Amino acid sequence: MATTSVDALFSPDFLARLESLALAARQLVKGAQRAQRRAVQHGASVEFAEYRPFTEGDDWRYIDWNAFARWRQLVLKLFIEEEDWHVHILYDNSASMDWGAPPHPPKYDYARQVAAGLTFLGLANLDRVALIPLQSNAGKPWKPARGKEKFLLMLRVLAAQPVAAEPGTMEENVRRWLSTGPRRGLVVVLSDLFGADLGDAMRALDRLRYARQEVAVIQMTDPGEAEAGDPGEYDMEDCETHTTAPILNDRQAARDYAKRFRDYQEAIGRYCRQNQIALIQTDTRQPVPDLLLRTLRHGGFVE
Amino acid sequence: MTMLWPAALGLFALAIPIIALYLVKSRVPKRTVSTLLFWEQIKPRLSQQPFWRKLRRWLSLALQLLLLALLVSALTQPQPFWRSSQPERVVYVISGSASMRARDVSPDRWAQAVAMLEQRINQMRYTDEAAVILATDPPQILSGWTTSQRSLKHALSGAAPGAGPADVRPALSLAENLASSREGGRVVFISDGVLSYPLEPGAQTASATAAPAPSAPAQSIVAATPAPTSTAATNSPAPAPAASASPATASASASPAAAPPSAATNAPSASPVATSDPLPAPAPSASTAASEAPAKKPSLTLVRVGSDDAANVGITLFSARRSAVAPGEFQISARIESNLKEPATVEFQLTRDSRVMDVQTVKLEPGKPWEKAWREQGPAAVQFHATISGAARDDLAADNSASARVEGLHKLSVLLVSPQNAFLEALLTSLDLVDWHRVEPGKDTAAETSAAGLVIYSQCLPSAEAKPRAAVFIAPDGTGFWGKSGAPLEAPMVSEWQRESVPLRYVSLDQVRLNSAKTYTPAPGSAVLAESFGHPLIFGDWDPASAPRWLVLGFDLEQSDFVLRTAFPVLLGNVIQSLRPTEQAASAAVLPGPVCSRLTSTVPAEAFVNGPGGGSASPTGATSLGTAASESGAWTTSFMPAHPAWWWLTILGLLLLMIEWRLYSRRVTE
Repeated sequence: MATTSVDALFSPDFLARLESLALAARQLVKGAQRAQRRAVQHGASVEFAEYRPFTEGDDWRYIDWNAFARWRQLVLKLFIEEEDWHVHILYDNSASMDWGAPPHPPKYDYARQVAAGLTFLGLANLDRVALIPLQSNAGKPWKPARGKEKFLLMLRVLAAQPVAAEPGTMEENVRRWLSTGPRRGLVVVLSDLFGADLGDAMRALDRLRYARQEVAVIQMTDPGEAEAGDPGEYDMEDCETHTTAPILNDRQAARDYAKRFRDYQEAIGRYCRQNQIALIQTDTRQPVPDLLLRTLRHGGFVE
Repeated sequence: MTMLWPAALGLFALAIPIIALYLVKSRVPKRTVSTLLFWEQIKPRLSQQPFWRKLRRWLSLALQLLLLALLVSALTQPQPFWRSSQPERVVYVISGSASMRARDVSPDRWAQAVAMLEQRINQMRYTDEAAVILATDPPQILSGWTTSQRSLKHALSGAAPGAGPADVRPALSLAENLASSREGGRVVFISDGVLSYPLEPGAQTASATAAPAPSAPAQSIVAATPAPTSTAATNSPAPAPAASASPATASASASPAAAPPSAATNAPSASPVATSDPLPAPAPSASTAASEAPAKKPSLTLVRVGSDDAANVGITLFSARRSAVAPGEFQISARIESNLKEPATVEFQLTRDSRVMDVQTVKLEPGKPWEKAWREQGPAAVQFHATISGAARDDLAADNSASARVEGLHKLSVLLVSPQNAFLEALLTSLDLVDWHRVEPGKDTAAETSAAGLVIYSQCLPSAEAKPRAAVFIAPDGTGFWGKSGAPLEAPMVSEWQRESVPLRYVSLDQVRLNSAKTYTPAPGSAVLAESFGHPLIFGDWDPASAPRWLVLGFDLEQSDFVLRTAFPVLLGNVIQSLRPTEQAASAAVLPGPVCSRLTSTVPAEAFVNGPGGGSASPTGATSLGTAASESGAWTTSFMPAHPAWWWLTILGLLLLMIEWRLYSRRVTE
């Protein structure tokens, strides 16, 4: 069962580790103003971009009169607009994430701790960080915000975020979020990538790519999910869809299960490499600070 | 199929909760997983499991139900199919002869017989009755009719075979009587077939009624003179022709074999029913007898223990006895026999009072016994012990040693009431172990005569108060309890005498000159031992049971040449020797005897229900010895320990339980 207490989910020790990680991030990433990134969008700025012919409706204040005097043609002077970098952290709040074989924590708790860590790093770097539950109908998204003073509030929101009761596909959830028109930026997906089918997660990532978002994925699984568990005959119940399947878990079935799991993980890795998506595959045994440090070193998560 | 406890079938109701619990158990446990993504990929393979894998859970239920069926069946104690539903009443007779101690089967024949019988006892139903008789001399009823298995086993636990041969006929007759007292009663005789006497009860009866069977000379002796003391005849019973020429046979003749007192009293006649019925019915008329079927005689089933390849070398005779004419001398006889088909060599050792007296290496040819006799002297009691050792194969240890004891001699007190008589005095002086003194006629006292073992009155009569235990009157004149004297006998001469009588044994009265004799009228009941053409010369009552024993020599010793002949000391020696205690004369070791030592069955193998023919033939051809061939399977010996059916069912059930536990409870699904 996912934790809803802020103190239980984000211990003081954990928060202290985040502070040290922020210092490490400044050393690892060159440049102090990482939030000052060039936006593709043109706007008011000091850096010239290009000329464009004046058309009706354009703001005449941007007409370059010197160019008109030289060329006798009205042109507009365009500048590159400098804007803040948006980091969208999509954490999977489906019911499949609320699963963990003791003594390991549920994947949902783990994902929220990672999300909190990434948020802290982003806020520390003056980025605008948004926290979006993948199933937005089951939770309230945290709109992009900047400033470390928002961090504590963000933690409360994260802790109170429930697990979605209704099942859904990852592709549909991503589509629904993209329909809200998020600004382009870095989308960090925190999920086990166990979708409705084997291609669901990849289709969802495709949609993010098609939306010109930079995508990074942290796939987190429970150690117990890599193995078939005790042999025997069971009615296996999907904790998200609540569908059951009678399964005879013998040695052969256990071997097949482990192979299928490995194949899926490899397929995800192969897909991300082909599409230049930063991917970290981990399980809940790895401490969250270690995972965050790993993200800093890996590249693609923090520009 | 019959069951000892059919009520246990009600326990089959336990199948209901088992099935119910199984249905509960069949609810597969639910297991929550984060996703079925990977399980659904291998689900098609799971549906392609072999057929038996799909049935495995049903197989588990089947195993459990089978386990229940086996345990319930074990509790019902099913009986073999050949056992009828009617109650069984069986008198079990176990041979108690020494041959049952043979170790040709493990551990020995007796233990095998007891094990077989205990197996039958274990299979008894609550309605069955059984009795157990040990065929010894005399037979012992170990247990009367009872339905208690515990009582029967307890009776068996204290029984053991004897040290010598056993006449099984009294036991079988007793068993017949016992079986006749129950409807459908029958007799089962468990034996190794080594019988020293014919098995057919009729033979025993024939001998007991003074019609000795040729094959049973010993029995004829038993019938004629039921002597009390056992000697060599005990060791070499009836069918032992070789013994007739041996000293042992002489011993047997002198001291006949002991027959169990019950042999004549317990054993019924050969007639199956009429004489064995304790309450004989009035004799039916001829027409009635013809129309009525004879009463059914209890059937006899022979069950054999032991094997056919028993090997043994043993002492079949060992006896020691004092000489009849020289009490100080005694003779020791020994005989060793082998049943091996090849020559055998054994070491024989004879000790006298624990001191080695003789050691010999005895070589035994097949079928030829080794015999030897020794002569020794001494008045004291002597203990002899013979042992053999070193036989290559020896399955019977009971005949490897034997002991015999010769009791010491005591002096016999003789009172001579006579004027001086040189012949008598010289003779009494010459006899060994005789303490005598003479008193003048009329001077004998009651104390003297009653204290003396023998009083000899020569030409005089005892005083009125004299009460001798044994007396010899020489030419008495007058009247007494012995008879009365008459006129002188003219030209007396011994015309006939009883050579077999004890006083005249080895006495020759041929051509004895008797110059002076009288006519006598013996007392009624006395026997005339010698006569002169109808006139008694020697007569008396010398029967050991008589009191007093007396003998009259009706002629004047000094007027005859009888005192000059050897017959005179022999006669007086016989008289004195016969007054000595009988047990001092001879002693023989209790041995299995030649028949038992051979360890060879005297009954055809086909007669046994567990024999080659399964009881198809009767041992003697007699109709009374019916067999129960249908039981042959029940008495078949096996190397497996004898366990009842419920025992095996329980073992099988536990085995199934282990398999079920291994397959399902441990969830080893492959």
